[in-house]
Amino acid sequence: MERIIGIDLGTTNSCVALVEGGVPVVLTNQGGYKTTPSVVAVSDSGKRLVGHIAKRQSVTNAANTVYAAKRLIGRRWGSPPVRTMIETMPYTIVEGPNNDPRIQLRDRVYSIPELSSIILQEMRLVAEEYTGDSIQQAVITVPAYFNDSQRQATKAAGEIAGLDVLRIINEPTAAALAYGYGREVEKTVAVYDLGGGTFDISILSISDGVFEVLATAGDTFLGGEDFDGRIIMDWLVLDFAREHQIDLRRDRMALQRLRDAAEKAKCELSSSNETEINLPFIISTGGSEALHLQKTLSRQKLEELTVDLVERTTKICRQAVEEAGETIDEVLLVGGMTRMPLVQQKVRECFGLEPLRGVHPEEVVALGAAIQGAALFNEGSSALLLDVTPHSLGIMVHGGIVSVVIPQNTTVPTSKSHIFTTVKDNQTSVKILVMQGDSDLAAENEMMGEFILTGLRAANAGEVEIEVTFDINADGIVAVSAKDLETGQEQAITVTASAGLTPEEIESMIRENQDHLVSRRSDEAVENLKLQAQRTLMELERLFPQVRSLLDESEFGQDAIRKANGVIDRAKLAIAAENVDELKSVHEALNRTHNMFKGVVQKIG
Amino acid sequence: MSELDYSVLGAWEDHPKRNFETDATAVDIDTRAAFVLTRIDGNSSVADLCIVTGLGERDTLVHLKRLVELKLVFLEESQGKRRPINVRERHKSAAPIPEIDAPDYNGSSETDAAWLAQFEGLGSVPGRRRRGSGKNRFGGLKFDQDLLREADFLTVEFKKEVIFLHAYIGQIDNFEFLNIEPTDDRKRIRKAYFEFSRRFHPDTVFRRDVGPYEDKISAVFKHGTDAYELMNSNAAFRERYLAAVQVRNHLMDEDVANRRVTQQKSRLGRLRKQSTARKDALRARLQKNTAVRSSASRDKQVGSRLDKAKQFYDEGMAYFENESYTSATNSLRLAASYDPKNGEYGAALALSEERMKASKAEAQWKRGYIQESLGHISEALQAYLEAADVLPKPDYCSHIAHLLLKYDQDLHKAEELALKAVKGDPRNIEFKLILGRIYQQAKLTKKAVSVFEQVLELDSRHAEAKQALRKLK
Ligand SMILES: Nc1ncnc2c1ncn2[C@@H]1O[C@H](COP(=O)(O)OP(=O)(O)O)[C@@H](O)[C@H]1O
Ligand SMILES: [Mg+2]
Repeated sequence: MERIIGIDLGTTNSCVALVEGGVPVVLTNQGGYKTTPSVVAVSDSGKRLVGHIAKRQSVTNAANTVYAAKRLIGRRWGSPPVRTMIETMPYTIVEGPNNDPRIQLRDRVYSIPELSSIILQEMRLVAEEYTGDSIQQAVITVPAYFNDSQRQATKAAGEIAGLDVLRIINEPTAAALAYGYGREVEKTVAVYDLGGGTFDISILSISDGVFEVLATAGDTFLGGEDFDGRIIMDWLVLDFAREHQIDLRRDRMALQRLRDAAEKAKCELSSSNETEINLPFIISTGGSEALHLQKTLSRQKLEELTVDLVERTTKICRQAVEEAGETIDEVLLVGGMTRMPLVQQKVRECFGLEPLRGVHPEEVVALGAAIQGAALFNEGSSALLLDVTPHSLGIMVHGGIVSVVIPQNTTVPTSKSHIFTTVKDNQTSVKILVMQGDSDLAAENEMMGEFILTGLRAANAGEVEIEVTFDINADGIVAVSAKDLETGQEQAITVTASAGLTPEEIESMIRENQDHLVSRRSDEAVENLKLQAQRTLMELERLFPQVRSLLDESEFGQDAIRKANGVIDRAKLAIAAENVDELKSVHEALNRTHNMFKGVVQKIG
Repeated sequence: MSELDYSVLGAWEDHPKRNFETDATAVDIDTRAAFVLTRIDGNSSVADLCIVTGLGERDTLVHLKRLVELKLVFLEESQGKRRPINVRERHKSAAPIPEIDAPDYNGSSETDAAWLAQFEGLGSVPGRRRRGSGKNRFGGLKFDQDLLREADFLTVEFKKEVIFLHAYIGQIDNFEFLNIEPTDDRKRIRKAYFEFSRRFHPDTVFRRDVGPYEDKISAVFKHGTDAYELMNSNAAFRERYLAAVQVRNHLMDEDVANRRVTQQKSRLGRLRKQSTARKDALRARLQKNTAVRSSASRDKQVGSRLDKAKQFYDEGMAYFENESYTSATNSLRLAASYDPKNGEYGAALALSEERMKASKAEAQWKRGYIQESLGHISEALQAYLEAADVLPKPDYCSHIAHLLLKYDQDLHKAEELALKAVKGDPRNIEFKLILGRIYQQAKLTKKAVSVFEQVLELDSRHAEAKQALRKLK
């Protein structure tokens, strides 16, 4: 039988799972990790990097490293989230040909689905390495509030990655599936998902294996990174400035190191009460002197710094519960941040219930996606998802107003028709502008597509009737048709708002991706060697002044320094040339030199 | 000529016939039109054909029209009533199935009907119920065997259900469509909708080749979902629609019952005639022998009293069997008075009296129920109270208590009735809940707490009770 993977394409991390012998399992990548950072970068030599390796090199390559691309997927260029991203992200966001945001990485501009596809491809590889088989089919999750364009764009990303995307499902629904909600339960469940960059709360009704999303709310700019930010800005940077009158934020490299350290500290404080932050040589003072940062962070301090963030989430929870108007029977915790004890405590207080949490809250979404994938082909399976339209769909009518044809939260598949008329005398054509969103004003909604129906009879305004039909199939694909009720003439479009990508573009990206796949593995080896060499080089350069002052006296010492200089030059050349063999051979020489330097400093200094 | 102009097709009752003079292979038709052509047997009406093809009404008509235009098919006008095919009005006029000889029980009042019409197909209350039981569960629909052979991995029962629902979209009320009772509460309706989804959601045949069933399943699911969502989200609609369906059902039931009563009456008439004949014969015999047997008249009288008692008893039992408890009671009373010592007569009388009371109460209750459906609460309450007076069943009492509470009329009376209900059936959670709500409303916190706690004892996960307790404490 075909194997179907479930992919949680997260804002910060992605995860892949598979049902094996009836049991869903999360797949481990070669580095031994169960989640992969949703980070894509292009190195200075033009190589494409994904996941952990991309995250690791982001210190030195911030402008060409993309993270949180999910916030941009399926959005329009001028929309507020895109504007916020342009201001806050270290990478360059440019306007694409179809009113979509794209990202410039070195000399190439990438579409968002393309960048997401690179991550999906990585997840697919993880699965293929695990099973030793080729994987073609996947179920991918998206937040429940994602609109049609965002879902379509995610689907397109899957296609570019060479995957047949069976279904796009909601993250909270997937989580509930993974928590074992199935046939026998009948409950109203709140899914609290606090990830790296986003917070989502969803209220689901589960009955006899049918899942229904009753309400969703959240904040797309609230997540673990904000917690890290508090540690950095309100504590590390502030204290450092007090002590040294230096603003660490001015130095990108320092900032990135702070970011990594803050996240590490935050995670450690979920299980211990105190942790050390140790960043030697964080910044140079301009002279030969370098400053170090060393501090101890307690759980209590962390909670003090971030409690308002947690309370922001619980406030949103209360609103969502009110909107849903149902008693909550159970609260599920999802997302890495829910490992934080303070989060658990506040959620408990908010709902007056002990929240359910899995051992690995960041893995449950992928598990659920895998379960749904298996269920689709499994006759008499216990799970059936009732999907609803996350936003209203309609067309723009006279006066810039949206006339809703399919209201928000309508169960799909569905089709609905409305009859419209002409507004002007002798009007022989109408333009159908397909809109989605929850505002009455067209300008505040997203346009999904447009088409023109011509050949209407010239008549007085309001005489010619046009029937507009929206049809959404179980896959969430929207088709809109307009029909002149007099002549039976019809025009239709299938709205595939794949974030401004034409089918041809997708085609060519699929092909290009295949090529990348072939060269990818060797790239990674090179990149790892390069990183190692760079790290050792940095160490050597740090020790160099000290070693020189100690050895300069003797002839033997001068010889040693000359040799060391030779190794450093060779290493730099090898790094620049990305020559694997040379990198390997220089690797040993570098290590030897490093050991020697350390020995000298220890013995003599 | 536009696609929507079906004037060439005439009326729904007309019979399409093959015109074998035109060579079908020589003209340009697509596979679907060809399929429609093969479904034409000359004996079925246009309306029948629409079902038989499985393509749906609209598509069938489009293809049929093309076939007529190409002179492959001609239409033979039917005798009698003809309803012209007018697709813009297809919800109202199109009847794919020839109606069985039965009247429409138009349930909605005119204002309700007009109001409900704004919901188009979802608001129309068809003149009658479709589903029967057993063999008649698909309302007498005839199935195309070829169609049933398609997609052989689906069960025939499922396929029949799909064809049935699909054929009757817009002509079957929402309750029947979703397979629920009009009186089901929201929770049960939701459960039924989920069950419906499990059967008809297109995902149940995900990426499997189900041929002509694909579109049908999808259409059935969409319609059922629309119906459910409308009833679930629009309380005004639910109320009016429910009332209309109930009135229709009542009228229909009453009519059926009346017909049964007519049958019974004629049977009773026969019985009566027989007994009169027997009486006359007896009388004649007695008169002949009066003179001779006058001395023994006293004995005879006793005998004739016993005979009379027996006669009335027989008559009474006949009524009883026909569920005419008032007449049965009258006759049995006479029987018992002619022969007071006969225990059998006494027992029959007691039973009949009890039945009479119960059926009176039930009739009263039914009247109340219709009043309630129509929103006439005080009339409903009056009828209900009368019913409960005669027959204080726990569920009657509880329902009245619920109404008294809901419309805030008389909490003391409500409490009394709710207590009666709880006493009658102490394990019924619903009765207890109502009692609890009454106490809550009357601010009798202690009593309320104790009742809700009892509910939790019966069902430790009961959400409402839990919530109420939380609020009370
Ligand atoms: N043990 C931990 N304690 C606190 N936070 C954690 C822990 N592990 C992971 N996180 C945080 O969880 C976030 C990632 O959550 P995840 O669910 O994987 O992200 P997303 O769904 O947004 O892609 C990061 O901010 C990370 O720092
Ligand atoms: Mg997530």
